[in-house]
Amino acid sequence: MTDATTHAATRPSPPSLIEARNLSRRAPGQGAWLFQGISLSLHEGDQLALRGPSGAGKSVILRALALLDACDEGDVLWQGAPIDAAAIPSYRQKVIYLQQRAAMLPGSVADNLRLPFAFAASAGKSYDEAQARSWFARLGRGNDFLTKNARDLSGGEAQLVALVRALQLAPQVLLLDEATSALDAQTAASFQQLVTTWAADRPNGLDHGLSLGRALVWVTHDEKQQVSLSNRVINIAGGRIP
Amino acid sequence: MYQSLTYLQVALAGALVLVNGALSALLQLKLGKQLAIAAVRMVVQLLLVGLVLRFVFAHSSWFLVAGLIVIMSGLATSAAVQRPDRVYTGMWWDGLMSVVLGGWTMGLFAAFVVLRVNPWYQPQTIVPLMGMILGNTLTGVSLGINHFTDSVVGERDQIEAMLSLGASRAEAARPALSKAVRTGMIPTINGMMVAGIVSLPGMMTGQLLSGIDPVEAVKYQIVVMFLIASGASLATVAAALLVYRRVFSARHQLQGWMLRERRK
Repeated sequence: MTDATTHAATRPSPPSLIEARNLSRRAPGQGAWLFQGISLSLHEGDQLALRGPSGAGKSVILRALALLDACDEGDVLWQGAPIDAAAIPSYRQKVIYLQQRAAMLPGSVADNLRLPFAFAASAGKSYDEAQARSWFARLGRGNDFLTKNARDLSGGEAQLVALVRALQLAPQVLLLDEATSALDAQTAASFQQLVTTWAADRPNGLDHGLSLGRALVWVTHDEKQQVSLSNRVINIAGGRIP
Repeated sequence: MYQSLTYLQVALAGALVLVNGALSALLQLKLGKQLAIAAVRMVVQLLLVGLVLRFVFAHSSWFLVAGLIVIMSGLATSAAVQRPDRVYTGMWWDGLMSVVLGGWTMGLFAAFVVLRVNPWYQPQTIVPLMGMILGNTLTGVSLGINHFTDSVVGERDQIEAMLSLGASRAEAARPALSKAVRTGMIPTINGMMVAGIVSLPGMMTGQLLSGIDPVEAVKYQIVVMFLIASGASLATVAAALLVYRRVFSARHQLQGWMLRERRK
């Protein structure tokens, strides 16, 4: 048990960002449980690794935290409150899920970065090209990368674009699903570096008195990554937390 | 001017099926049996329709006409939902709503605004008109459903990427919706482009054969083309939107698992 008990001991009760209460989901149409009775809370500063064999349910749990699938039972709370349907798009800009196969939309890399700013949930946010360039520079990509056609990117390059596309929305939580699976070791290291720098950064200001602190959840098969990126581990087996 | 046909004349044309039969035998196409079935079906179906229409025309009552239109709409719906490659629960009802929206709106518009048929249920006008409108509406419905479900399945990752970045369900579905509606409208646009060039439209041909002045026939045909175009477009949009409401939940989730491959 690396969950709530050890957590409380190591830090003075930081506010909970996401709280999952007794989440269960069946496979659509079949009825077999994909995961069952999952309860966990994610606090500011958490770098949580979900660990377990393939098919244990790590990805579907991550998707459930992003509210991308409907659960049969249980609730996901954001800063202690339930999330109603109208608030889901803005919740998903605070809690961004990065899929393993990073999906690019038609157009250039820059078009892909501009895309989310067209959504109603992005009101008040705007595309900052200089910021995007500096992030790409840290990932070893030059200025011409922005004009590349997104359809021509390799799987690894698409993962980099997906990360920057998410970071520019200033999320509070990143849910990373094997997000470096297609990267070479060196680029994966810069990716991790960027993510940990982002996670440690605590922006000033108050969002209506709520916490602006950050956290991340990481699903990976890479043992080294688990050690270097997480300060908490939850084991998943057969869709449950044993 | 108008020449009535005797059954002997019809039989003479029917003898032509022997030409197809001979070709099949000569080239060993093994189509003889299918050809015979198709020919018999065609004759029986058309004779039955003729009898039903004769009955409806003779009685000219609003409930017979309305009943016939309801049956025609049901048949159009069944034909429309048989074509798409994917199926889902509730598809028939979505199809019916789209057929009714596209077809009946145009039928009412034609009867009360354009042609001002009196009484509105005058079967000689309303029944063939609804037949043409519904026939094209069903194409619109099946294209709308087919293209939208195709896009949703084929671009699932992109749609979920947009949802993950804070798109509402409407924002995430918009590219797939507009693609579906665009492709759904292409046959209508093409139909208007070539009208009268490649072949004379069926209704116009019929009117010419019955001795109507060509310009009068053309005026009718233009009215019908516009009714068909609008009916098919309305139905395509309605069908795509109805599928959208089922496949995207109110909580902005893509429920792609609802779409099952059609068992062939």
